[in-house]
Amino acid sequence: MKILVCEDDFMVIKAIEHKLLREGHQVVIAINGKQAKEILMLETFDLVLTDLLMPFTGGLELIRYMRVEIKLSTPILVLSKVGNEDTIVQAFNLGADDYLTKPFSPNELSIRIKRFMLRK
Amino acid sequence: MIEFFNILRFIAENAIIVFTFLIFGSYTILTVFSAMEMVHYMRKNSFVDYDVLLTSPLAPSISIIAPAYNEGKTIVDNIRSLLSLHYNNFEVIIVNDGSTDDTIQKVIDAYDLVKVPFVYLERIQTKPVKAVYQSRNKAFKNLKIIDKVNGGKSDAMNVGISFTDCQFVAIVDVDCVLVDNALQLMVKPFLEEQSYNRVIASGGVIRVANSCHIEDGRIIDIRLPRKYLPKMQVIEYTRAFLMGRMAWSRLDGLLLISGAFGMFDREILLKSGGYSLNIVGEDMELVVKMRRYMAERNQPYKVTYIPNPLCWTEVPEKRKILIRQRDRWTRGNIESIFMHFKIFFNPKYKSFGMLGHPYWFFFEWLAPIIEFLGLLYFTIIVILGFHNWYFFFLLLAFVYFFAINLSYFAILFEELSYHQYKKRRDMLKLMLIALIEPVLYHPMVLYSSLKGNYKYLTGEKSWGKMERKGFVAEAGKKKTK
Amino acid sequence: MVAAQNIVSSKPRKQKILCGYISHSMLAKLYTETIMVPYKKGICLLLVFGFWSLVFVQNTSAQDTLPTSPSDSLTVESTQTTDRSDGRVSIIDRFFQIEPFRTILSKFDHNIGFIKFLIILVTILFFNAIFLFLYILLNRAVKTYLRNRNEKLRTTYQSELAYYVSLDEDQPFYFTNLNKRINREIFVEELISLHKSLIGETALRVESLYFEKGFDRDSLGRIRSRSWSKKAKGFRELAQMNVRAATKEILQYTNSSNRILRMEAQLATVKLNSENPLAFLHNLKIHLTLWEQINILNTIQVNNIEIDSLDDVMDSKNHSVAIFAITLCGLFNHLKSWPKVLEKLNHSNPDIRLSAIKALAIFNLIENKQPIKDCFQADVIESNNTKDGFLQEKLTRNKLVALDALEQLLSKDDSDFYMNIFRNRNEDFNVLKKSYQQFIQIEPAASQMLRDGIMELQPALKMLKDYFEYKNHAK
Repeated sequence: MKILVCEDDFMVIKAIEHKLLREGHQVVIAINGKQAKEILMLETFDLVLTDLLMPFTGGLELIRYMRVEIKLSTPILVLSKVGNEDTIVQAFNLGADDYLTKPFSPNELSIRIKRFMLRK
Repeated sequence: MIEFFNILRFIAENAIIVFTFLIFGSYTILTVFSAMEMVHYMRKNSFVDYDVLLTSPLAPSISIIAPAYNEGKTIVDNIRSLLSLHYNNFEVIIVNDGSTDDTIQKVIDAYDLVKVPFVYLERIQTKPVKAVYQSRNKAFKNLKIIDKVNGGKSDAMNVGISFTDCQFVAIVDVDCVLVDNALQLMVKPFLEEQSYNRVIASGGVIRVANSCHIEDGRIIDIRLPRKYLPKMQVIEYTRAFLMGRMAWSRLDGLLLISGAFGMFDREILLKSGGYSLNIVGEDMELVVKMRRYMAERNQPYKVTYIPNPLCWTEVPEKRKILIRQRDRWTRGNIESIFMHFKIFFNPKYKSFGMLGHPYWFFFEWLAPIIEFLGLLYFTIIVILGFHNWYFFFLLLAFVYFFAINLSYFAILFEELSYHQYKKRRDMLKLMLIALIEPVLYHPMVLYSSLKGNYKYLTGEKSWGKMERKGFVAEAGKKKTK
Repeated sequence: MVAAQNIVSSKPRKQKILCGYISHSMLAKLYTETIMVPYKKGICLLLVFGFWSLVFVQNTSAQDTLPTSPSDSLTVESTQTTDRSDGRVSIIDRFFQIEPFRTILSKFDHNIGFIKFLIILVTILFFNAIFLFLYILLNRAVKTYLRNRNEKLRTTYQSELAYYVSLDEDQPFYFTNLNKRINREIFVEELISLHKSLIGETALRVESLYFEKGFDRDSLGRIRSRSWSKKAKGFRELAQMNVRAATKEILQYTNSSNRILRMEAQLATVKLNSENPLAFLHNLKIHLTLWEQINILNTIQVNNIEIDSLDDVMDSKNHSVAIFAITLCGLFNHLKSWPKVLEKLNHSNPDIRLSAIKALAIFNLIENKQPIKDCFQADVIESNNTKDGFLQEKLTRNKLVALDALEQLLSKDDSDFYMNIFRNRNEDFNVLKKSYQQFIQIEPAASQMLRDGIMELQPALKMLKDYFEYKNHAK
């Protein structure tokens, strides 16, 4: 699967990247929403994994951009801080498909990704 | 006759020299205090995780209030950048102060706004509100636009403050660029208040944004301004914010929270009467008023200040505009000082009355006047031939090197704390500019503050209002370039 | 073939990099030893004075030993010895023997003392400016070098760590040099930041790595250090890595007078003290600020910590602690504590009452209705009887929160409660607004009931009526 990971914490990026690469996925990384938007213009993905809080363009705006402006139906998995329920609800309202709270377990992440694969 | 003249000379010379030494002594003390406060703050701050505020149910509500007057060119981007600030529980209120351009229409189109019914208690008398708009789009649900009849900046801010229900209000100049976590940083001092001390206001550093690379209302790359005038203002701002205000925050004598970005306890702000109308320096006067309100009711309070670079703004690049701006500031200072002269050396107001206010009286208001009188005196002496060039140059060298030391200390503080200018060449340029700053830039500031004093003495009250409108229009013109 | 080519081509390049590195590192070593270390230890001031005295001594000694006419130096000496009773030449006098200060001084005929003072001051300021100029530049160079070096290390360790956690359990992995102090510091920082964003099996692997490399000893050493910032850092590390052995030692700092240390200790004990995470609240003598409350709550949430009954903490004499305990009860829905929270509605402190109302609002039990209404009435009476604006502000806030809490529990028989609110002429506008909103929801005959004389009594109601009619119409 080709996955776009949009996240600003370098450590988290690295951890996710290694995990996903080892499971045979193709990973593209964006460090903020703005970069993600640019990448999305050029390539198509099977899944977008995004943090909600990032510099420049946040996750919510990225989701809105994908669903409303360029009308992409790519599944979106949101990665958000614990206790941020309001924002997660907002993300779902805008069209997110699933969420995972930080701190997260990489194994759980891969299970969720597998679920997306099955759904496809 | 000659005898009399000599006595006069003796008195004048000594008075000027004593004053000079007092002022320099006070600067030295302030430098020491600011160094102490800075070290303390930096060490303390290294342990802070501001992100806890983003998810906490205990985080207080904040309302950002930004008055707008003829900002059609930039308003849409500015609102977007305000909306994307990192905080959970906040709203953005833009008060359109009867703009004569297409400001309101642009915002309506960009954010899909509709008129909504509104009702609120007008706790401060203001010009009437025409309509309130909110977005139909869920993503912008915390945006509110108030359209009102023109009544000046203070009036617009008062409307916003009356309108909101939030516990804290952040007053923002709509053309300022705020950093993402500005609200988190700004609200923290309020949360740290002890049971015995109520934090009523908090201010931040204003930085010079000229020549910085700004995209979508965000600073992408921080650069030193290319032109000389803004460069000198960089030094001046560093000195004022990192040294002056930092020290005053330690001494609890902070009198001014810049109108560009400050956060206030809404309740106290309303109780003390909000921003005063028809004066030039409404931002300074407000803090004085709030302090007075608390002190006169024997309520312990605190005004805090954080040195992090939160707010970036364009400073004048033209001499004329700079002089006008400074002349306005001077009149603002004079107004605040004399409107509340009761505080002067009044022990009831504690350090604010015993230190802060007198400092502003002597060293902010009186200093330029004394300096001017000194120059005048010197010219007379030269004409009459009583001068001693050696003494003159010795004093000049003293003043000059003192000024340079002060600037270098400010640059050092900046370097040791946030070092925003990453390029080494920028630093070098800044330090070289500091060498000519006292010669080129200071006379300009002196001139404009004298002009301000003159205008205050001769002018009528309504002058201020006219002037500000002029400035706003100017700022708009500047941006279009 | 390709591989061989690679090796050949990379060899000279590598050497070049190496050369660059050596010269750079030597320079930096020089910097760090001459500038950075003194700066860190606060001796930089001494350095200034050292520099000064050096300049001064050299100048004066050169003056003394100069083979000028002996008689000249003698006369100078003699006049000075007569000036000073102890027979020694003062530093200031020596200073004014140096050129060009002597010439400058000779131009003045009176006020010599002041002139001397001024000359010395100008000289100090002049050299200080030069010193600051150089110092800023050097400091920048050192900082840049150190930052680049640390960044390099940081990215290396970040990649290595991320790779390590993605490996299987039994695969061996070697990290770049972990013997140097700075390397260890950066490594542990990255380890902590990685651990923060992970849970489950992977987090445990990070933890075992922490112990395996002996970082627990480093951290324990830190909390015994004298500097508070090191201590606080140690608390963080130990708490993050669940080193329960340190709990007792950390617990004694929860009452420290240093704010940062205190909060870090509190957060650490919340995480480490698994039996009773909030035990320190019992003995807390200092005000618990909202900032501390937010941080403690965050620690509880992020680490999924179970909170036991807080009934006894709610009685704490420290009001901030009581407020926090009540708030937590609400947030974690501790229904067991319901009677205790209810009791707090009668507390004399309005802030405690506020937190109780908020907690009850989350419980949302129909049994709450009467007590909250009573509390509201009591607030109305208190607010009518006081002239203290600050107290009124708090009471109004309580009233608004109470109305929020009642929102879900209301029924038609509560009309009287609202009519009483409307009859109070001193009532706050926002309270009226909220009451009106709720009133028209529960009472179909609302406008009828309000028309009978109340509208004149309370002019705000008319405005509210228009507002809500317009609003409902717009919907």
